Amino acid sequence: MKVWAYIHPELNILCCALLKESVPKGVQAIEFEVESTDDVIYDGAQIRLKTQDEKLQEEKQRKLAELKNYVASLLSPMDYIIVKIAEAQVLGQDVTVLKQKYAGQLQRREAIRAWNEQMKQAIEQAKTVEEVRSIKIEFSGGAGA
Amino acid sequence: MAFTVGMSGAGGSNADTVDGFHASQTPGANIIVPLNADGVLDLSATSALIDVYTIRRINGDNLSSDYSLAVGEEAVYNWDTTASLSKPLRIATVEGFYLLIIEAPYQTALDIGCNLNPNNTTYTNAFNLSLVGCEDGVSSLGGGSRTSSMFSLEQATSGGMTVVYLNTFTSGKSLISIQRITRYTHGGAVHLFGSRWNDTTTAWTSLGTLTTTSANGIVKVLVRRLA
Repeated sequence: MKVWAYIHPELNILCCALLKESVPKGVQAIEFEVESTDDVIYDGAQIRLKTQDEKLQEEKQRKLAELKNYVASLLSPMDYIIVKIAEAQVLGQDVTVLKQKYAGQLQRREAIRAWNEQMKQAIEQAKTVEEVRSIKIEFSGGAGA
Repeated sequence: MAFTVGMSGAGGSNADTVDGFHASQTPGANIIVPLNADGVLDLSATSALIDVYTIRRINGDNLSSDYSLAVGEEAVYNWDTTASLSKPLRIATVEGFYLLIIEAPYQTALDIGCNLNPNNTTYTNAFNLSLVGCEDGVSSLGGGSRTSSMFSLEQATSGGMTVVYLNTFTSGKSLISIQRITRYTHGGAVHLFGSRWNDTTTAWTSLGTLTTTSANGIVKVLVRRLA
């Protein structure tokens, strides 16, 4: 799609008009052909398109944030078990029984963390934006919570 | 109530006009429209103005410049995302409230993002979004917040339905939304999110342009001015 990029005269920020007529009157805009409006950047000196590497790094950050949120959502329902065990330890109690009782969940947490590390590596090692986008954030292993 | 009944011809028994107005089942200016054969008042060719509420639907796909919706009036669109990844809504906005509904075809091959660019423009990092959501099959809520350069509508074009309420008052420009969408991961999710346009001086004069990160067939869109 075409966009017309300019520095907003009052707000002093980069803006991209998706329609030519949406550029404020009297403002000089630069026309770009882009896949997404996110592709345009103002680097402090000029308005330009992001490099492939900049786009790749941004996509990786987005995917890592998605992974982090997802892993947190998997672990949080079992956090009470960790709190229980920690409390027992603080009180000087034997935690063997608790560890046996919650063995399945503890195993699952370990599997989630191991999977998380694998996913992080896969994201960081991806060479293209498409490769990052194709990584599916979905945990399917481990014992049930 | 006093009114005058006009007769057609001398000695005729059929009323031709009422207070000078003709009757016809084809709506038009200064025409009295009776109920049709099904007992329905069919004003589809025109509109009904009730106090300050207008009942009328227009085809937004035919708009070539910004159209000002009356309160109650709505525009509908069939956005062919295979033809274009952006859809200018061509609605002139005034300070008030608008409803936006988006319905996209079911698919789970990839996550597709959707944005609303108010005034058909992006404004770098001028928007804050906060979201809570629940993925299918995941027993806890997820969420977070981030800045963006337009109103993010999350995966509104990914599949499923998104309902958005828009506040176009200059000092409080914002939206709240709930969506049930399909997703690449887990197959689906429900999101509840709100977004604020931090700049409190720029007027929201054009509802804006919808954009989608990938094509997903025909996306149905409805815009209604609520107040």
